[in-house]
Amino acid sequence: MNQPAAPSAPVPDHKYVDITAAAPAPAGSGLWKDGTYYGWGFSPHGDIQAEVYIEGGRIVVASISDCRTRYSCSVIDKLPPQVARRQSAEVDYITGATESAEAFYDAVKEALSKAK
Amino acid sequence: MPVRTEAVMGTLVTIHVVPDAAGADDAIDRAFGWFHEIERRCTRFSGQSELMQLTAQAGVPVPASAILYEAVRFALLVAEESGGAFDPTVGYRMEARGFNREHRTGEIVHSAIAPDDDVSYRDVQLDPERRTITLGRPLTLDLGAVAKGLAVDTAARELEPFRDFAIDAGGDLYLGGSNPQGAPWSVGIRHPRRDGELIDSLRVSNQAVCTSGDYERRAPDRDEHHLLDPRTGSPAHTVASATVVAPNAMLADALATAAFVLGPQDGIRLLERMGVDGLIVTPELERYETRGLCHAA
Repeated sequence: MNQPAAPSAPVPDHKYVDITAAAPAPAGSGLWKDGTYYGWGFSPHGDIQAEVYIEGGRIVVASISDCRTRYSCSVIDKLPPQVARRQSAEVDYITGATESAEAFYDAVKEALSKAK
Repeated sequence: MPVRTEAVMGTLVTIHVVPDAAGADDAIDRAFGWFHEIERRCTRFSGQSELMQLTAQAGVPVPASAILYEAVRFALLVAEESGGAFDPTVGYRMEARGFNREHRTGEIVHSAIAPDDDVSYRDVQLDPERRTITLGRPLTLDLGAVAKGLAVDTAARELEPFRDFAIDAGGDLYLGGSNPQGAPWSVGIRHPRRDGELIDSLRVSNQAVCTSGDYERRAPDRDEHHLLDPRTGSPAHTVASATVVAPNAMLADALATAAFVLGPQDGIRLLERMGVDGLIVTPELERYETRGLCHAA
């Protein structure tokens, strides 16, 4: 297999989710429009609103701005690495789907669709 | 210790390298590179993907990249082993049931084909010498679980030099070596009916753990989960979650799906026959497990 080019991700900062690689900046300028954008993601347990703050054309932070799930969003509001570890401090990782993570992913996507 | 999370393949993927070693960040870059490359080739949510280009050409041998060929070859192998309980040609039925939203853009996608109701994995032929794939009839391949597993395994190869590492692709895990405390990784199995609770926990080292559950993404307008029995086209109902521990994630993921569809007894028999371990939980919370499953103390 050929080695794919490494993604041009920004310097990792564990305080926020790096969603830039999943949602490349729009063609042309290569930059997002500055501002704060919101989007919703939906899960069987309720809905999550993401807030994405863009400055200088880059995503500075993506966080949960409104949590309407049946359980506390605290399981995902402390973003990585806790987002993956979620509910339990007693184990290293948890197997099983993560609707809350998927809902947050969708919410960030929707917010970014407004920043083009 | 380097830890990074990205959103890819419709979920959040976390890669965690335990030693703070030189080159770990570069290896994590390469590992995520594979996730993006494999998603680009194997997604059924983009008409431009290599997978969907293949889908558009039934009846002729289509040359495939090593990535796509390997994913399809593996999917057909598990389909054969599971008697069709796992079947990558179930794709169009998922579209018909509303699993057709591209998670990146929210756009609804439809394949421009109307497959016969009786298509199966037997309608896909491989030519290993020419590395071509032939769809005998119009059909949509769904490589979702296999592609994610392949990405986890390929990423794991980039991280092997660091020995101790973890990859979490939305609950599909590969755990290399030991955790930061120097012990085998502990893995909780999500309780299929109680949020925030675990139904069991395992000790794992140099193995993948994947779970198929009926709590996963549901079709937007229906109370249905996404695990269809390929043999009937309807959702499978006898299992709430099936967890598999296997040497690699592609195998763990595909066998978790197959075991879910087969039901508790046949599912455990398949896992034993394939030489892997697992735990199957029914909707009534009855537990079935293989003899070798390694529980955490």
